[in-house]
Amino acid sequence: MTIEVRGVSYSYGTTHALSGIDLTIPDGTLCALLGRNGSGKTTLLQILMGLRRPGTGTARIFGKDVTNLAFEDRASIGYIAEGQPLPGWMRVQQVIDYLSPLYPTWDSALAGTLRERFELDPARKIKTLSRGEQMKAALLCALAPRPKVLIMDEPFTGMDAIVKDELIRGLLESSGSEGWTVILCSHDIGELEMLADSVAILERGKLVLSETMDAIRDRYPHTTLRDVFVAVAKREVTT
Amino acid sequence: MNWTSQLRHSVANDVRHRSWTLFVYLVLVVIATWTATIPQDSGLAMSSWPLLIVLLGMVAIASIVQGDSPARADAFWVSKPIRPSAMAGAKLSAAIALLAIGVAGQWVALVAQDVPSRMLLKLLLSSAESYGMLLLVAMLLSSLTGDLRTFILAMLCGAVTLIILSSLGTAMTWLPGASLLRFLGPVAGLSFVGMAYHTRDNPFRVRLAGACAILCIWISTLASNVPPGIDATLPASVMRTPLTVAFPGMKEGARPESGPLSSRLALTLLLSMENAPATEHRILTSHQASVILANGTRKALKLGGGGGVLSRGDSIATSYPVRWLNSGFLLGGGKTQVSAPLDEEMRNALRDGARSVEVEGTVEVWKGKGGAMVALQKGTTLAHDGTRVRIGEVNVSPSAMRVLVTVTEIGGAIDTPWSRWGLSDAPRFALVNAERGEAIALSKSGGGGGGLGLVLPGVSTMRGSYELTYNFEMRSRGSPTLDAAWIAGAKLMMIDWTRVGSYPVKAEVAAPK
Repeated sequence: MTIEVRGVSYSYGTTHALSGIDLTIPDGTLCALLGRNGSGKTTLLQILMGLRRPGTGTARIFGKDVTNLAFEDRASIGYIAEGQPLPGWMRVQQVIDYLSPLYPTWDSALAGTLRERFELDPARKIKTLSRGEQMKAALLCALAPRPKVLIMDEPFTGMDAIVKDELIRGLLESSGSEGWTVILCSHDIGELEMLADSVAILERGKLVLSETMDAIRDRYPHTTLRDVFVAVAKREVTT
Repeated sequence: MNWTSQLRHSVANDVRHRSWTLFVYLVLVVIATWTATIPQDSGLAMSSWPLLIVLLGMVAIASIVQGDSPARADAFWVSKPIRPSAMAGAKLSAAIALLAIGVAGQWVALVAQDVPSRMLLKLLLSSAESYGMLLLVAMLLSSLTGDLRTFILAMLCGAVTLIILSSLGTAMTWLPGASLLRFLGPVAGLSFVGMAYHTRDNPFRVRLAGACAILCIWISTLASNVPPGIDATLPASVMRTPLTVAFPGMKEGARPESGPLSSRLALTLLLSMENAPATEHRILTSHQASVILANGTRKALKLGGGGGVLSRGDSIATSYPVRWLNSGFLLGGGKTQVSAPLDEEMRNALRDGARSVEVEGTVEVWKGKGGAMVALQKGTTLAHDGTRVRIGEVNVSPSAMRVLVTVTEIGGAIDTPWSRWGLSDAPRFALVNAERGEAIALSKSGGGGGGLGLVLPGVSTMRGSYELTYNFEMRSRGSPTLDAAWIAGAKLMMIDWTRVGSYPVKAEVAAPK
């Protein structure tokens, strides 16, 4: 298993953000992480990135504890988070030039293709880009190294519908053809339904559902993922 | 990328990021260095350069640290495959580069000031220590703060706190091995920066460590202020002339002032050194006095004043024979008075019959020697042993000769009786006419102020305008009048003072009855 979370809990002071999370994401699959605001999605993704140390339990990627990942392994993980600041003083091309030597697997051709697809002017400074354009630049930075694991926290925020569609199509293609393991958190549940191989739903820091899309469709035929999420959130269905 | 490649990569990125700030910093250092190496009529204008350089250096390093903030869990670099130690190393490298640029400027300025090579390294290390500590503090505070505005606010609060703390504590002379504590601050500061880049997701621990590091830096600063111990050695060839103590104007054992002791507010002591060789200056330092009571117990007197010249030489050594036309080295009479306030308890003790009053201290022995010389013309400049002198005016009137000079002096460049003990009346300059084999010592008047340094802080500078005077009416009996030809052939000479050594002294006088 590429991503394995066992008994992870986390607190912000006296507030429990996560309680005893167990989650497994197999290689080459895309897991949609759903939950209401404040349910602990971002905290869980930050723990997977090693940005936060779990209070209890362990999180593993490539079979290794995320708090002790080797830098070669860290270079195989892409991370995009809404609100994560890019260096505003840099130009788009400077960001690419800064990051490319850090990743042994950096694909300059892919970076060029993504830059053109996202219509990012290489000479423009990051701070002059719109919110959506900044997310595109962040996506470029995360995808160009061709990571084995992609952790995405609200990556579609601020994007126009055309680019979003293109990106989703690209993600579907890449995760399928290149065997990427993706964990994706978004409020666009409709989009996730197209992408996801499995779904995990967090509610008040607890994992209340973790199943494959096929299993969900079998259990709740003729029901959309949005309806399932709403029902789970309102505890109208048993998990 | 290996560790060193990542470090180089991050440093290059920082240089690109702050290229303008670094350029301005470099320009400031170059201007400050240039200003420090050219003759100045008004040296006080220079004193603001070190402050500007330090402030810009601190802001530069803070912005470089915050460019890849260790304090923010969502910083861009933290999700990238960069080793935290390489990132911390890059920031330290930037600080070292800023320090090295400043120290290079300071080196050029000190060399232009003709600081003796034996003192150059010591002064450079002193500057590097002071400035390095400030950069470290800037790194520390910028690691704890998220943006420049908060950093500046924290700096202001920190400065106020340090001023308050410094008023509470003084040099840590009471602590054995205090000099080792000088290393505590740098070690704590560097450890903290490393820890801040490694520790994520525990702001409380980072802030606690930051507070501890600031405390260590403060202790370290106090330890740096420990004065050097007095080297009480003296060559066997130099006479250990004893100190004598008496009550001024009275015979030994008599009451020093009229009226009962219980009404006196102070006790005055006359310290002198008879028969000291005429080729030396002898200065009493770190002296203490106590009253020995009838039962043998001692009570300390709180002496006022910082010491005094006990004896003076009548001439200084020159490389060729010179006849001194005046007695410029014999000012002051070779005696010094000190006084101590008497509280009621002490007055009662004296009234009840004290046995004696004892004074002990250390006598410093100094010798003068003719140093560098410069033509007596307006605009000429002389740099010698850390002192730069520029002649502003040369005025000769029937009654006196006056030379106006601007002096920039590096504190600690050379050991001098005036720099060490605050005695400003030791003669510094003389006029020498080598052809006639005659010289006169010049008296100095005027004043100046302390500067913050040349290019960097950590080296004290004194700048001022002085009038060097020779009063024709005060010349020694039988000395010839200086004519225009004499003055035309004269040169201004600086006098070098060399510390021969020191020895402890103790003197006792019967208490007044």
